Amino acid sequence: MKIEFKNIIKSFAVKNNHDIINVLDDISFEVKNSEIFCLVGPSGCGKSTIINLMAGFIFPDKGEISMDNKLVNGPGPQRTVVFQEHAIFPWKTVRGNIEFGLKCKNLSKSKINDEVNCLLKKVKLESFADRYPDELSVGMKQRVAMARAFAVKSEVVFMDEPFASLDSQTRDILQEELLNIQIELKQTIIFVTHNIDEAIFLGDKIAVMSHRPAKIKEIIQVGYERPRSASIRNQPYFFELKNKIWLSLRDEI
Amino acid sequence: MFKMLKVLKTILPILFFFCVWQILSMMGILNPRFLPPPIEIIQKFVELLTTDDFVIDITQSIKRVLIGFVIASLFGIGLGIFCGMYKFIYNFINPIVEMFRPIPPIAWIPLAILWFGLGDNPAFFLIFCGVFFPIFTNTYLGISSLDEIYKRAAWSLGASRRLFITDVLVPSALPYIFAGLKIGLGVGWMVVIIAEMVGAQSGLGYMIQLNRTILEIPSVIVGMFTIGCIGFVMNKFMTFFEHVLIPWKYN
Repeated sequence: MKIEFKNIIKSFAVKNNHDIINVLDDISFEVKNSEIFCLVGPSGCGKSTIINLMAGFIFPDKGEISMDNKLVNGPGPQRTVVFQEHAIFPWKTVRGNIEFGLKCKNLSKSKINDEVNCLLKKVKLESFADRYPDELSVGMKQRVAMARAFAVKSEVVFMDEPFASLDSQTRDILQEELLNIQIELKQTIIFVTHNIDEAIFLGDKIAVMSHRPAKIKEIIQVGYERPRSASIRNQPYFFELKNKIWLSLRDEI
Repeated sequence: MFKMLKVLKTILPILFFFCVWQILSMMGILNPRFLPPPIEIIQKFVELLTTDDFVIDITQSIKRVLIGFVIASLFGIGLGIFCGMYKFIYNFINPIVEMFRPIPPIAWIPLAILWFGLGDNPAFFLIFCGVFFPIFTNTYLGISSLDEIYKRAAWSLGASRRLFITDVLVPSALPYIFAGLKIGLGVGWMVVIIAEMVGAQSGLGYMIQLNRTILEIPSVIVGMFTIGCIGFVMNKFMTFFEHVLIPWKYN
């Protein structure tokens, strides 16, 4: 499995105005199988636009996006998305939300039940299976969002700042859980964040983006193997990387 | 205990109202020929309940409004969903809807009688004219206001068109649809009474109109209160269904 982003140019028309904003300016990168690829950049630089393009929600002005050498021409279950927040269905219970992707696959009822129970356990929500999203904390909602996306077992999962609205403790815990699940399911993950710590802790590679119109400034290799322990956050190498990325990023803010 | 106190708080003002009315009647300030005292009305109500005619009038009115309401709901919800999903259908339908919407159902009475005669059919037609519009408009609003992010989530999880409609589009619009149904049923209940006053041989509307002509004022007032009570109970029923069908909004 391989995802390629080749010379992408994307601009948007401004509403009530004849201006055009150039968002992405000739962006290219490649993500390999089971890799966690992080995108960091200043806010408003077009990180989410990259996710929307790769998921097939919108299309580039120029350039090509392909998965296994097949052009991306619309959304589909081989490329699922975990959104920032508020994207789990409020009219479905936790179970109903996680079930949704499996119902799309036309699996048998008992098979769906087994899968959902297994996922509920993985994201530690067994006792909340029949609750509605409005009754959950933000952290729990994002756990549901992850479980819903992982349920369809797509090869690629895009995550668009999924932990941005969490407090820092919950965020740390969810990052660890995400890594554990990824080791098990081995999906390729493309993870957008503006948090450098998060990018280093999760990523195999980190692409640093410039301000709008965005280019990729550099792609940094993170040396850590997986599984990773929480303690790597305190290692000198971690701080070294963080410094390097921050130096690169600060000119853009 | 707390609940009883709440009930008491609702009932006391109503009791007070009837007491004042009764006292004013007893003091001779209110002319019983134009406004009989409450005790006389209650006696009349008990007396009427034992007659077949009154019970038939009640069931006739309820039957008419329910049939008209169901037909209008099917059309309103169906068309609302289509219009919400396909902009070009909405663009075509909406001007026509907007042309008919401002016409009060009462204004249709002459045509309703000309086309359908007397009895149930003109009532169904008039109820439809009153009920369709709020249900259609609310359904359309609910369907078309589905947040883009839910569409994206559904498509990226591999939703088929059918699953998208049954599991995303319709449930997300249910609170709007129910708002429309509640308004619609209220309007329908008003319209059925009017329809019966002019074009039927039974029903509560017919009953109060008939009693006016024979100056049987206590019966007129019994009819009025019965209409009010049934309207109240119907609204409570709708609220109950709403809570059952949309648990995620009311937990």
